[in-house]
Amino acid sequence: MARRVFLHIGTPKSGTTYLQEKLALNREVIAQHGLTYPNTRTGNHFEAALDLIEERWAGQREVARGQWSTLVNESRRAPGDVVISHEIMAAATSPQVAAAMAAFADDEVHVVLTARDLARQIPAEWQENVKHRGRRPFAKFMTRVVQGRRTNPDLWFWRVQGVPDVLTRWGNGLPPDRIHVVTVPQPEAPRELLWQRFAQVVGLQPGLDLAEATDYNPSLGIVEASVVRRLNKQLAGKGIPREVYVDLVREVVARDTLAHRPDQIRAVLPERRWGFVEEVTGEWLEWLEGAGVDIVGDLADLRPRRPDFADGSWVHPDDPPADLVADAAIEALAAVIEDIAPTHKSPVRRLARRFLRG
Amino acid sequence: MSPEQDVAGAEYADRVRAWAAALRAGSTQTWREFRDAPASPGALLDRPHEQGSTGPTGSGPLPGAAQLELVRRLSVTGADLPEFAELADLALATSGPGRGLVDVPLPWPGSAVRTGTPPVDPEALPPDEVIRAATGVLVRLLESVDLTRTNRSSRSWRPRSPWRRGFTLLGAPTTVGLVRAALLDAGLREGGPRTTCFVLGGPLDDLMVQRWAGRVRAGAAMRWPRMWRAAQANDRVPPAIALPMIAAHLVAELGAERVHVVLADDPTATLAAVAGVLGAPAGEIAPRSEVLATDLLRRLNPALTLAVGDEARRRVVDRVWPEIAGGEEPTSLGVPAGQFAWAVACGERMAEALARGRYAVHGDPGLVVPVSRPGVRRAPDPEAVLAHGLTVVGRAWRAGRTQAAGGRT
Repeated sequence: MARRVFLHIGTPKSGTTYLQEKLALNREVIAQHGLTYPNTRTGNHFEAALDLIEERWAGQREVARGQWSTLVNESRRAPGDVVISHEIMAAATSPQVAAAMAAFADDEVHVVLTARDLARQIPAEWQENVKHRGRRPFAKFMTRVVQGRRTNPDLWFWRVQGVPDVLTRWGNGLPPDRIHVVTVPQPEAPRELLWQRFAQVVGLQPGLDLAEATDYNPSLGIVEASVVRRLNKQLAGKGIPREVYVDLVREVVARDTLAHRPDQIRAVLPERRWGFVEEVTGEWLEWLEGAGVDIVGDLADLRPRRPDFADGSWVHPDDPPADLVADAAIEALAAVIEDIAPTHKSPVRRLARRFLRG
Repeated sequence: MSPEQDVAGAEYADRVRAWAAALRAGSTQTWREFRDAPASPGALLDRPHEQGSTGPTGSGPLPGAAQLELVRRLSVTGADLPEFAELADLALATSGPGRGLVDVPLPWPGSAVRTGTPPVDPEALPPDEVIRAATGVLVRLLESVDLTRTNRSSRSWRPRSPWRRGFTLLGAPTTVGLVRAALLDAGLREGGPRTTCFVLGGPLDDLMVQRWAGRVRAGAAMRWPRMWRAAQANDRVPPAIALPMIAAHLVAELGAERVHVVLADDPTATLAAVAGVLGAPAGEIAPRSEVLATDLLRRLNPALTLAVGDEARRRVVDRVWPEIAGGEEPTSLGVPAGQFAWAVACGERMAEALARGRYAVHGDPGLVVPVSRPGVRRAPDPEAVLAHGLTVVGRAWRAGRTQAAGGRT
């Protein structure tokens, strides 16, 4: 029987970091059950995926060169089934997909796509964009999404989030039963349910005793996203090196501080945009039903749930309460000072500060 | 399972295989007729496993009710199809793509105790299930089309008349294609520096049918009502058929004197108006109905796209689909009930905007407003789609045989 290679290709912001962390934490245990999550020099498959899709990614492309071949070679050495997972693979063009498939020509390739409802994906992608130095307010981001072409898209959002388009690129020539769409449960469901659905696809037995992932990639609320976005505007054009931005803004400020603030106000689409996401979702569901791909979970999970706008609790994502933004900004500032304090006198830090000041 | 059930199961399987073999040989008997008829002792068709076949009529898995009914209906409508038995084998062995009933068994005396999908008389199956089976067959037939051997639609060369005014057509997509072909055939020039622009339109529901057909040809799987729900949700018709917006844009770019809006409810009248402006001869254009073909194609699109890729699917739709799916009976499609009031309001807004425009309008702007047409369906009739689907399967099969025969010579 041919070895199975599961290519988990996305979509971004659909619990992929959680799944990848859990795979990495339990690498040895799942290997004992016949599934290899190949190790890499960074522990995950980001560099290999970046090498495959040939995106510049703020200079990371050069660092990642050759990593896809390395991952393929590592996978070929695996004794049994293999799972390769990174969400940016959803952006691959048809020739890049063909190259990926050719690398596993002797294996039984399965494509796995985790998909979450569009009404949650749009704000999630926006705040992710903010965490990557984005300065665009939500309203402008949303307008670009609405006006962007959804098939053969130029816009990154639709390139990685347009479920039929991603599956068309990745599923070409595969039998539909080897294309698995894992639906992300609605928020009130236990997080474990997503893992159970994913594990079912990749052939892991239910009930395995696995360590639980805690280091995933939570979204920021609108207050916290506002702090980072305004910070990005302040830092724009100041020549801040990528490493410094990643260390201080994305990790210290966003991931370690703001993301953990309690009672965050989640970004929710304005009322007038719900018709758009509902109709796009309807088209996608008709496509998925007609394609006959393997649906793991429930297609109803992908239907956006329109909130009650009449209760007056909705806040525009670009207009969070100013006092809450000030509180969050001070927390962020404190976190940065706390982070740099131990090395305040270090020559390296002084040099870095001088460099930052130009 | 008890010995009695074993025996009943074996009898059932034998009888189903015998029916499949009979259908494969061209029988048009329904399951009920076949099952209730006395089995002729020793007849080969009643002991299909003795034919040595391992296919659906032999010892393999039993075909489901949808597959069997598809073959029966193909036999009814396409008795003269070449090598029908091979087409039947393909249909019996091919599952329908997408979601639906799974492995539907046939009614059989004593089969009350069982799990899974309950038995359904094949004749009573929802037409959508038989269409799904036909769609599976179409995917198999179309994925094997040799596109290098299919001709692009070729137009006989005619000398162009450079002194004549050039034309540019926008608006109703299908009408644009038909009128454009007629004008080119008459020797007129498309585009050019002094081109005259025509925005073609008609009743809003017809415009939407044409836009729906265009979206489905481009790969969408959307149903007819969704077109309207999306338009209502956005409170605007798709930009490709937003006639006032297109005309206003052209006026801003080219000036009002070079923009004409033509409103008519059939392509011949549209051509007459356009030709009148251009000083060219007009002729008859046969109206083209594409409702059934569009509904069939939207069901086919996802599975065909996954099978051959988007590029190849487009080539199939451009080069093969018009030949095998064209020529359906004229069918009108009305606005879904839930969107009718919105459609009327939207049509009235369009009509007012057209009447106020600074461009020439040929025809009554009020024609755009949809009217309630008694007897017109608000969604494609699945029975009609199935009937057309059987024709399309037959044509695709015939085209494939012809291609194969050409390849052998």
